[in-house]
Amino acid sequence: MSGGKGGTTTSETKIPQYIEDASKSNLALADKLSNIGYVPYYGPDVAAFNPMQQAAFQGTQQAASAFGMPTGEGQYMPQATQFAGGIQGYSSAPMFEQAQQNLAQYRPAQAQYMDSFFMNPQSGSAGVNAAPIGAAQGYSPQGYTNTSPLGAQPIDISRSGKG
Amino acid sequence: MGFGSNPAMVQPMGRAIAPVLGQNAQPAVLPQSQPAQPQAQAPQMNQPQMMPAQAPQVSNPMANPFTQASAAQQAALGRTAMGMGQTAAGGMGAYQNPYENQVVQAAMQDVGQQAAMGLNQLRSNATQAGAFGGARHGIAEAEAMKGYQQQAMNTAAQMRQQGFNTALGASQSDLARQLGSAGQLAGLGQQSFGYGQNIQQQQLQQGGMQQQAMQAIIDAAKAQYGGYTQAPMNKLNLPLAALGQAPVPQTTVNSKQPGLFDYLTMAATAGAGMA
Repeated sequence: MSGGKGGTTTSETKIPQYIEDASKSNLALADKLSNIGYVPYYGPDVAAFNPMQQAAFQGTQQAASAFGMPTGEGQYMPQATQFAGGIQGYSSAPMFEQAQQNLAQYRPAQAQYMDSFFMNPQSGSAGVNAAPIGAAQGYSPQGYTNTSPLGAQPIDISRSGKG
Repeated sequence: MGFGSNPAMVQPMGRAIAPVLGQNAQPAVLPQSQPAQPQAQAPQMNQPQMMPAQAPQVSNPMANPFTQASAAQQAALGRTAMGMGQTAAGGMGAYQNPYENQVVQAAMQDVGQQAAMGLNQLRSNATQAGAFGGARHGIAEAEAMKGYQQQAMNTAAQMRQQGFNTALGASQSDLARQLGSAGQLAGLGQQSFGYGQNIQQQQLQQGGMQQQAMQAIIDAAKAQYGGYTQAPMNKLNLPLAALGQAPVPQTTVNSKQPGLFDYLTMAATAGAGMA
């Protein structure tokens, strides 16, 4: 662009309107999605020892006992949980819940401030610092209905380990 | 003739070996594997079906190779330690002929009968020669009796020496056989220990394979869950991806705002045209 006594020359590049609309829509979508927050995993993380492995462990203890050596009696591993499909394993979910509870107990302001940026995972209401465009306030959570053919049920948080 | 043939040697090994040999007549029966029952409905996670720390089924505890190995090792140790200060003399009594005295006495009677017969013949000869009761007869009879007595003593000594040597040899061989058996028992115990270790290795290996399979299923489920939770983000990225792949048409508009010189030039051009 040049100006002055010789006049002014302007060069303008325009993007199509549909792309502009799509960009705005994507920004609005991003705002909505940003309210989701962290989605934890409540399934198994580590496969449990199976009976054959436990038999081997017991065999080692019996060998030690047969020769009068200490056996390390007692089970160190916690009890495994049986999940859908007969999978037995350990889940980090209870520990995650426990850590979250502890954070809320010992550093409540910090925990609540973090939570304020996202929707309430139970009620669906938006946090006070949630994205303004997201319109998460209008989100109406639906009751959960288990339709899994495997019969998996969501974890009952009230019964998971806390402490 | 087993361990019982030498009472001084049998007790410690007999007690120690009893758990291994005494109650092991029944064949070992492997734990019957329970057929996998299809689960009609998986229990809820909040009602966990805990994997119990059940002791593995052992149908015959005496068939436990580690128990066998330990018992065999202890028995071998005990017997070997006992044998270190042991001689064959302690076990000779069991191998001595209990009728040895009767046999020796019978042999003495035989020698005595021979002596009597010989003396009778000597006296008969002396009588025929008219020398019975003389000095020569007395000397001859004394020499004959001396010979018969020497024969009796030699016979008894040989018989008792033979009995002693037989008992000594039998006790020595028995002692050696028992110590050899103790060594063999230790070897068998080691073999049983090896069996147990091999079985344990198999269990660990196969159990590890099963655990890896379960872990793979868990990882696959986690991956699917990750895909599910990531789906909203993918939805956000899809338009961006589409725009990135398609060329975005751009329109460039050039516009010019005239200035003072532009107007003067335009006026001059117009004046020249009128003239």
